[in-house]
Amino acid sequence: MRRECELVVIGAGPAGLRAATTAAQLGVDVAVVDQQPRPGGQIFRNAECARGAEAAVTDPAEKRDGADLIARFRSSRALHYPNATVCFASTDRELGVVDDSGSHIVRAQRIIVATGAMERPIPFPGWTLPGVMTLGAAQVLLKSSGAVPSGSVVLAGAGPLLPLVHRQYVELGIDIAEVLEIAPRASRLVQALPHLPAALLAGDFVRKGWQMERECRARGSSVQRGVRDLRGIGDQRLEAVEFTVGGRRHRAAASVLLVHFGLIPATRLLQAMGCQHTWNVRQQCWQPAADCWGNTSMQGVAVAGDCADIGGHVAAGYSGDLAALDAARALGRIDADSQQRRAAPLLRARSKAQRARPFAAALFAPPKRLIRELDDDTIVCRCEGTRAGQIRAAVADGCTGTNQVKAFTRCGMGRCQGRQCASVLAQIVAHASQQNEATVPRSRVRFPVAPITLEAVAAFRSDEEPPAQTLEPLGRASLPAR
Amino acid sequence: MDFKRLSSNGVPCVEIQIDGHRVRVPQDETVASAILLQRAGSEGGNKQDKLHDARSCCCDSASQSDASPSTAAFVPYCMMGVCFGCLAEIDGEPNRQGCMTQVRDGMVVRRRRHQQGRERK
Repeated sequence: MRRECELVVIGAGPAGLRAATTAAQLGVDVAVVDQQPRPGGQIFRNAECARGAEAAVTDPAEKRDGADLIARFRSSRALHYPNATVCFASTDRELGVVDDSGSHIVRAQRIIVATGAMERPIPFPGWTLPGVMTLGAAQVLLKSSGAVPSGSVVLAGAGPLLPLVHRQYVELGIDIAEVLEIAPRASRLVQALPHLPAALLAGDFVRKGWQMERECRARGSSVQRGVRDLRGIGDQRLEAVEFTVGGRRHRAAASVLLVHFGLIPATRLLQAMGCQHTWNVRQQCWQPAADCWGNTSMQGVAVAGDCADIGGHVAAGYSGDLAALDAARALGRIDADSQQRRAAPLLRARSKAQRARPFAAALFAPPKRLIRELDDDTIVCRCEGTRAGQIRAAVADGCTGTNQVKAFTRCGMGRCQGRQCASVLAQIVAHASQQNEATVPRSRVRFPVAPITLEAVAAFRSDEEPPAQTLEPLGRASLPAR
Repeated sequence: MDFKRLSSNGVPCVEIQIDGHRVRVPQDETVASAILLQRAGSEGGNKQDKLHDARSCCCDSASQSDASPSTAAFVPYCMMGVCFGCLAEIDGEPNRQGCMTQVRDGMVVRRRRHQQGRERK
């Protein structure tokens, strides 16, 4: 791996790939560091070698976008380091990266973080049972393994991904027992209506949504709206799903429950680096404070794509371009005038791509009561088993803020280090202490931001140190070659 | 967990071991999906050796049945590196995320085993 690079892009999804490709085209020396073995991120996962059936149910435009994006990246001069994890990052942009070939310190003049999004966690009773997974997980299984759920399948949650996946499964001949939408249609529409004109201007989004709904209903799938009190039932694994609709309690046999409540930015690396974040009220999530180029509060560090602001893959691509333009200007490849000229159409295109977002956010926002009315007994921290009641008790006992609550309840201390529960913890603490989420200090994230063995840590070598002897990474060297 | 492959036509396979059972999996899959998608009676396996048991995911059935409601979930939930529910021992290295690790010919995978006393995380 290179020791120095003008620009390092972290993440090989739509934003990262476009940032790298655009930067490379402008003559910038750029490398992409990505955890996955192949480029594409989540939405274009396995796009290079999509297999039969699942490729058939992917939107043709999306398929083409993914294939183009990756092909352009591959033929650019950008370097690609797959299976590589950024474990450390200093404020002067020294990255500690671990991959199959060892531990590497990479110095960058500019960094673009494009680490994408994660599923918004919303706990409910029974969500930790085997058989309950996210819709995102099901998409990964479909795209990477051509795998689909079998047995009695229930989809539940809120968000445009729900009808999309429903339609895909129906097209693949998978029986979906129930589709349970949390958001009640009527009140959500009223709240979303002010944003509808803008969304309609965005073109496809609304039309596609209505079309998908019609198609699914035509195939006789049962779609329930305004679902409340979702509960997974089972002893050792999921056996049934209970829910309330129209005041009546229902129970459906289920072997797989796929849930989705929207996406939130995955910003752990940025938080650990110390970037300023702002609370996005509409999206109900924290995101890095950034300007139109993606520049954060940290010198030389920019963000692009869903990790900056949930906006979908089209907007993410333009964000990548814009961040690359700014990096190219900062590195002297283009001047400020050229940057503005090239940026103008990109800014317009990105604006257009984002126009449907306020409407979608309002229409599909998970009701706040999902967190606020969480049963005390519901597990919040999957890793440590901390329940909502314990968090509330800690606040009642005087804990101020998420970090103190974490210290007293272990919520966020487990193997995922708070990835899965931080946002829920923050919302419960905010509500229990009668604060706005924006004023509750975020859980502290410290380096390393990914698990790393001691021998991998020891294997980092600084340029300044004279290489006294070669340190062979013990464990990896003795393993069969990859 | 009930998931099945639509087809593996045309994708070259590699042979890996899961808890001592040899299985063939498409070469571009992750360890987590390989474990999830194994079925009883899979190639090289024994119908009695239910490698994929409805109750076990990345844990063998012993550890899952000992899990009490108060302990946390050691099951794959997100398949993209967030939840850390897919940890397995891969080629001798414990606690590696199965969903972030591509299979490789000759790979040796062991699922989590319940330890005596308080469940280890």
